[in-house]
Amino acid sequence: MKRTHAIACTAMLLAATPALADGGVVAWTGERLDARAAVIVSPASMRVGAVEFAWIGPWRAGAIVVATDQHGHTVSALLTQVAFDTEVRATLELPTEGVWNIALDPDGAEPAVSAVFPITLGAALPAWTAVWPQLFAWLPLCAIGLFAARRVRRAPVV
Amino acid sequence: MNAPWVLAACIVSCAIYARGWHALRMKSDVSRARFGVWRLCAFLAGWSALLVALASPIDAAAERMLSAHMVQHLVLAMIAPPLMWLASPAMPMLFGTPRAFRRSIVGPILAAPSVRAVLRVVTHPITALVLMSCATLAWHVPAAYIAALQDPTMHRLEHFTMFAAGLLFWMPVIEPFPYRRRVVRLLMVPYLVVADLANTLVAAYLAFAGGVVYPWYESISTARGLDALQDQHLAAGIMWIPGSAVYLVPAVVITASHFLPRGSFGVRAKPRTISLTVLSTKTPRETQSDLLRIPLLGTLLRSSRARLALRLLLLAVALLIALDGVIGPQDAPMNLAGTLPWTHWRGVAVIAILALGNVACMACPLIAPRSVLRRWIRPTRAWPAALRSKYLAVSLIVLWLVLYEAFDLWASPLAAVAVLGAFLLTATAIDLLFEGASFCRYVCPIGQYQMMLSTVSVREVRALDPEVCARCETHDCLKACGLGLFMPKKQGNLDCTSCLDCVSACPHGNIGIVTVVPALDLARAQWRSGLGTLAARTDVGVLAVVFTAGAIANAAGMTAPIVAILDERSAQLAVASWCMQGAFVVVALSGGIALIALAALATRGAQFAQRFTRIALATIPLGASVWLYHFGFHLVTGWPTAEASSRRVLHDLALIADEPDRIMSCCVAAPEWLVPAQLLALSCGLSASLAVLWWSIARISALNASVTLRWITPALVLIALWAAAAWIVFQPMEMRGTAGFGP
Ligand code: SF4
Ligand code: SF4
Repeated sequence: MKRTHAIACTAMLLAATPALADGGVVAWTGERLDARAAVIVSPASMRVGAVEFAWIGPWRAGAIVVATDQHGHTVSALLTQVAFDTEVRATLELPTEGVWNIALDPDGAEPAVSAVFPITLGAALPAWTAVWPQLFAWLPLCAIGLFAARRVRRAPVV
Repeated sequence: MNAPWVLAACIVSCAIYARGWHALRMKSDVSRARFGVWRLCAFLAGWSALLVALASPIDAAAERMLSAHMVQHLVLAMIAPPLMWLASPAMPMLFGTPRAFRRSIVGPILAAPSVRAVLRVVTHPITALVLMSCATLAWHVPAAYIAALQDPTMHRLEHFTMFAAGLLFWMPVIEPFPYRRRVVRLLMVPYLVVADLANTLVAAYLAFAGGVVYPWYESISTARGLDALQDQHLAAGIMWIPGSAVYLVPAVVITASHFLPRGSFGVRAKPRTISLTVLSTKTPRETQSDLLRIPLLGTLLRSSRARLALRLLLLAVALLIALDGVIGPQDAPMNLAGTLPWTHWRGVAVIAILALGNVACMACPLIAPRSVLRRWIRPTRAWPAALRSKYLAVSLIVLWLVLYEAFDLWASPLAAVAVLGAFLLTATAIDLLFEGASFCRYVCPIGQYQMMLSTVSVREVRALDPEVCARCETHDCLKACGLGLFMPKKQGNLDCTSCLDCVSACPHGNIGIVTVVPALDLARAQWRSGLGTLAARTDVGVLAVVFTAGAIANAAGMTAPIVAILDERSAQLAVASWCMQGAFVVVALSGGIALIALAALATRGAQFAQRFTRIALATIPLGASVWLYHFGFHLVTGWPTAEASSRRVLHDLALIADEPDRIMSCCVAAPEWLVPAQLLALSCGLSASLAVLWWSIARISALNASVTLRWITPALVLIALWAAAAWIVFQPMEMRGTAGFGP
């Protein structure tokens, strides 16, 4: 019924499904207390720096996310509720590129760890000073282009 | 970090050289003898040497070992340059460059007296010797050397100057064709000896210094098996023995060839300067680079059946994707309708259009039903005169961008199916009601976007030989073209869907897909078949601004700061976030039009409408570069979604047992080269836009008017748009809706 509804609506281009998450990638899905649950990690193409983990599903106070890199360094944060009752989020500052193992426990003090999955971080976004040759390559290219245009204007090539 | 760039430069220049080398060998027996196979081998060897120096483990070792660094310098300044010159690269590189580039860019630049004067000075042996000696001595002064090791930019500069000085130095020694000798040949002996003295000076300094000259190497502890002083002595030995040999062996050969009887070392072709007629004469159609002359590909493209089969195949694929969109899970990254059209098709299409012409319209599945059904249903109505402009398509593009942004269309497989269905039905209905290709020409927003992109493509469908068209009496190309384009009067790719119906119709085989200078047509903006005078088409100008401003707004809508601002605003104003996102697009597009209108007000030379259109057309290369970096980003980081969603389909069909890994569903980490590549694309776009703008303003200015003064204000507007687009590259891509999941 729901799908028929959706097809009719989208066919009329009136109710194209709006995004249910701001962005990111579904890193884990499963069942939690008989309800569907998922972890969404954002941004979708992850880099060194702030990475947000959103748990969607049943949760309790004290829910926590722990990230561990290949050398055993850990970073953790408590998840806090945002827009919906069933969504909690935390942002971790992950300092190094490479693979990180994520363990997200939505039950806080409870023993079971619900979601365990790896993520791979790319290098941090470079500062503009590190990529200035590409950033300002238009200056010499433009000079060549203008020079050619001036030449053609003065003495058109047959 | 250097490796991908060096490799890319190597592939491009080897391809150009090989193409030119082959063309020259086909020209005459003299050319064939002059450009033997060994020249090609020398060019490849030169590039191999550069790759060894810059993109091999030697580059990494150079940071830790002075001896490795000396090997790198030796290769850069003394091995690669003479190998390159042995290949006599000037003529092959010129002939390898597309004819349109030779005539419109390279030719005028090389013909400029100022350029020739500068070249005369820098290629003089005395200048070359001074530069080479300075490069050798200056970069080995400890302060400069350490600065280069610590700062990557200085390091690149060091390598560039060494290679450039090496090229200049070895040119009079090798005398590559068509170099004209500047001093008596025997003077090359002291020339080489003096250069060797500079090299020996550095080598001796390193060998006989009491301690470590560059403390950097002392401070780096590595498991290299040599201490810093031993390493320094090894470096001195490398510079002294093989380094000196590189200078002294040619000195001996030159001396011997002077004193031995003539002919002992082979007869040399008499050098002459590069003939500018090579750069500018009209070439016969056989020598044009035409995609339709490529064996098999050309045969397939010329066949109307093969083209229809391609479109029907893509239509079948589109319908299968749509089926998955309806019956598959509504989880965009795991559904074919949520991945293939948005991530892969868009990314591949933008690259293909820029490289090959409007191939996306050529392969468009939307016109497949028309091609089949018109065998039975022949439309007779003409498209309404009131709608014969681009304004309807502009409105549809704006609507598309608003819906896309407001409702995150890419995040909903059902929405993708609805969009595909709407396009298919509309295209078929319009093309069965109205004659010609009315849907492509006046309605299709995707088609207009693709045509805009194709104006900066390096290929174009055009008549190969105007004289054949002048003698033609049937004009079958015009009868076949659904868009009413008459081939000899056709200019650029605008309004051409590259359907190639004209190719099948032309009885003289006089149409090809040939190389052109990208965006040159935008600068000329002159009269053409179908559209009339481009500069007088305000509707096309508005379309161009929507194309460019839309590119920036569309990319900005994906970045974290813009997403956060829009969320905050919608919470503050208590409006739905989709309203805010839609409003953002409308404001951005209106702002773009207002900005270009202001730039047009600030310049002079023609009526306002024409100035607006010309400036708007000049924004297209910049807009194209933004679409390229945006869709390229999704393609590079989102490519695994194709595998994940395909495996999910196979799993649902019980063809494979394993469930696909959700972590593959979107996205992989962005590789390190991506941001520099995005910025380089943007730089190319801006420089092309600025050059088009200058040329366009020159066309509406009197010969004695200062074009540059008139150019400055609109140029600043383009630079402001570039700054906005460059800012986006440095933001994390939030990609709203890519999660596509609701509990
Ligand atoms: S049919 Fe062929 S030869 Fe005749 S005008 Fe058209 S392109 Fe030229
Ligand atoms: S000129 Fe006309 S017939 Fe020829 S490829 Fe373009 S749109 Fe098709």
